[in-house]
Amino acid sequence: MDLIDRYVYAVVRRLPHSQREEVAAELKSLITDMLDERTNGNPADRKDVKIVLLELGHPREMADKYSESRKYLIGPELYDSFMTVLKIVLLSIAFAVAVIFAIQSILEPHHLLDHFIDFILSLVQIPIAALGWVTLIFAGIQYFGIKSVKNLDDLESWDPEELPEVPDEKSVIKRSETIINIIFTIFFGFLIGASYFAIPAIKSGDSFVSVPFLNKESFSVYFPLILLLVGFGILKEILKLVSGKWTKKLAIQISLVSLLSLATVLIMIALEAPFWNPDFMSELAGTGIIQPGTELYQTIERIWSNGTIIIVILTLFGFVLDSVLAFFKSVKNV
Amino acid sequence: MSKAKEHLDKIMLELRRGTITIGVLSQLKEPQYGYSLVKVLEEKGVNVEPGTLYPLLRRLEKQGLLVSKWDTDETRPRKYYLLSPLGEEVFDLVCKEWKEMTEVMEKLISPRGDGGKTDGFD
Repeated sequence: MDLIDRYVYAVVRRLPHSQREEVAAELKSLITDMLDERTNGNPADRKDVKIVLLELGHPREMADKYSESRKYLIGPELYDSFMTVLKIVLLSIAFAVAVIFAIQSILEPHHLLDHFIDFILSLVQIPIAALGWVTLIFAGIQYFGIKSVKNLDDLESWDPEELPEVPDEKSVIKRSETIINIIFTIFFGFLIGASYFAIPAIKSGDSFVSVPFLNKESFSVYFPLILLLVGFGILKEILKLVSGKWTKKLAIQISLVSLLSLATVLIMIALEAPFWNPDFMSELAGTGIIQPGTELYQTIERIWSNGTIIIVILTLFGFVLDSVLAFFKSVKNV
Repeated sequence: MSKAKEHLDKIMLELRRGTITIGVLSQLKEPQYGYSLVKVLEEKGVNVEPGTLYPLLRRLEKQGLLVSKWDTDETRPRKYYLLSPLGEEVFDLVCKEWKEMTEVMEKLISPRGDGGKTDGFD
């Protein structure tokens, strides 16, 4: 009877592979028993089968009863943080996309329609990707981080002395702080991604131009790594949001993420592809805002030629500072 | 009235969850297959949906309270369940607890002193 097979399949496909064969055989014999009972041993028709299956209940409900614990991609203890982060991320993306649309429209007003189409496309595509990433990060935290109580012993032998202190004001991580950081990180990612990481200038009165910091040719090589850095930045904030207070565990997590960010920066350097716009100085001079030979020009040139080393030192310093501060804040409150 | 019924249903659902397990254990000193167990319980006034009973049997087996065996001699293969030694031990313990609990509950819910009169109204 194909209805029975279909029902059994609908149940077991929701179960782990190891259980499927056994449960299927058992369910089938149960259903035939129930049918026999109904028809007193006479052959059952489709209507009988339907009644019996309806009595058994929806396949999903049945499968739920078979599987012992519910498995969560993002469990109830993380759900609130997940929704908060998702809202922040989506809102800041919408904001960033809108700002970029505005910039593009001002810079190139005659391509308004193109920019508008880009704008709409971005509004559709980027939030979906962001949803994916945020979900992935939270699923990772759920999978690796949240330990449900392992066994009953843990619940029975506990010492009230071991309960964590109520965090004082200083160790509580302000939600507003993490939210602002996420918005800032996303916005920064967008500026780079839209290659508007540049100095805007008005070229001798006729039109807007911008002098990009980055090398357009090798940009595609770096962009995934920059995205990764943005991702790490957001991950840090999410960890802070989930933890809610400064703890040693959080400090270790933050240090790990910082280490990964650092590794990403080092990879970017190791790639040795030209990262910066090689014509930056001449383009800057071309805009007319800075004349070659002036003191300001020389200062900028000096900073520019040492750009990589300065940025690397700054990021290094930033990541180390992040970790050290995290440890400091966690220890201070013990 | 329907509000009260709703609450009753909810409370009974919670109550039944635990009692079904005890009911199942009580009937498995002799091997039974799933549907025969449904029938036995039904005869004794305990209605269990097959959809609830089968997963429960499997779970109890996994916990080691039941042992099972496929009987392929009959016209149709059936899986028979039986209390394991551990299951018997657990069942005895549970019975003792249950008796104590029902006694305590009886004292709690039946009116104090004599047969069911409430004080104050004549």
